[in-house]
Amino acid sequence: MQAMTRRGLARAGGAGLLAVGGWSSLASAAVPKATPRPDDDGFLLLLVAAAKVLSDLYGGASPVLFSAGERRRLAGLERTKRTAIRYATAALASDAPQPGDLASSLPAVDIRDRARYLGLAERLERLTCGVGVAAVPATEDPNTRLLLARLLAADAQALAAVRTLAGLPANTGLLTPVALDDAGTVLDRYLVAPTAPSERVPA
Amino acid sequence: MTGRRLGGLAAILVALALPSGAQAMTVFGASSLRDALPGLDKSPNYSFGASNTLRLQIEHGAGADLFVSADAEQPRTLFAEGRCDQPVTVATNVLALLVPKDNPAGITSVYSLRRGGLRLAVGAAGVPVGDYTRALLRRLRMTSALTANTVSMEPNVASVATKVAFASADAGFTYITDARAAGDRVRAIALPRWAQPPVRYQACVVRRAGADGTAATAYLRRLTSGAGRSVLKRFGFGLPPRS
Repeated sequence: MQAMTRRGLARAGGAGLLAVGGWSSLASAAVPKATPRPDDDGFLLLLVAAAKVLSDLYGGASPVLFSAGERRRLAGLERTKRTAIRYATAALASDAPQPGDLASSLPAVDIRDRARYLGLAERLERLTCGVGVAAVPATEDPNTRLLLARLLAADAQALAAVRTLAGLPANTGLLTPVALDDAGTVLDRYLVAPTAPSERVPA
Repeated sequence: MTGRRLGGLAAILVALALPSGAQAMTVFGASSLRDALPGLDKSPNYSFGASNTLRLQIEHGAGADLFVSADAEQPRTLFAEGRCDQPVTVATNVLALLVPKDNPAGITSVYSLRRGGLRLAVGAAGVPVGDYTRALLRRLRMTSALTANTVSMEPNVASVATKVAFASADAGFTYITDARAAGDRVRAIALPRWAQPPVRYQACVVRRAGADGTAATAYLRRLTSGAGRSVLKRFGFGLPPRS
């Protein structure tokens, strides 16, 4: 990750505390219009992709693995992810991914039992939060920074909810930043581009 | 006048009366389609180049009948100007980072470009592959790669691929289809999927005096048919959902 300034560190710390504190829910927050600068796009795009994967993961929760009450909680998380996609997509405007550009691809082995399913959800939520913690101090446009902070707060609540479902303490401690490069490498494993050609070149 | 002379005169008159459409139609195509389009039909006259340059030529009255661009912007501009029919998406693509086969600079991923001091070939601004490259680097928060390295701005994607194939550049951004076309002289490094800008090829039938709209429409219909899609797929392109 690139070196952070003192101001950046303060912002990151603030963002982490905000996330741990669990801010107001995303859906009810009035978010001023974000106009991301060109270099802000990356964070929003990655968060849209992550939210897409997580929304599909929560939406596909099997009744074999989860009770009706648990599935209702997962459905709530799915709605939160969809809201996050809507906000981030609106901010990205013409740079937002179009329907069909990206789809999730969840390996069956990763969701075949409850422990693996929740393990994957926790890893991806933690990753998303880490990107958010890195994004807030690095974002140039103030309204985009505010949007990212609110997305982070919602993601931190989702992480706590997933940990609770897994029987773990909800409190994760202070979240650490995750570089876009590292997060993207992990996330790419769960993404496909349905209309894109194969990336393989015949030898 | 003998019958033979009459026959000759009739042949000349018929030739003069033939509309210009009887000549082979002209297709203006993006550089990256230089192998695929003739793979579909060898009979038209092809002119390949950077899509933005081809669009400018059409605006200045060049004799194109069909325009197949590597992006949506150029055909949409022509459509807005009333110079072509409604564009349709015919193919998709993805960007790749090409390195020479022996990769002397030891580039392992796009993030290697952060270290600087490399010779990098990219499409010039305004050229679709150049704009896609800039969008990708912006998404990766790596626009500094264009200042930290020695960058040559190429007029089209074929020039980028050639520079890398002949090791005049340590790396270059092209479409994955150009990596296939360059064969074993290059290696393609996949780029992060989440950051790929959507690459869509759009085609439109050109409206101008004397254009062979019938032949161009037939060609476009063939390009979007099952046979056309098979050819595009064979050359490594992605396909949009059937309309």
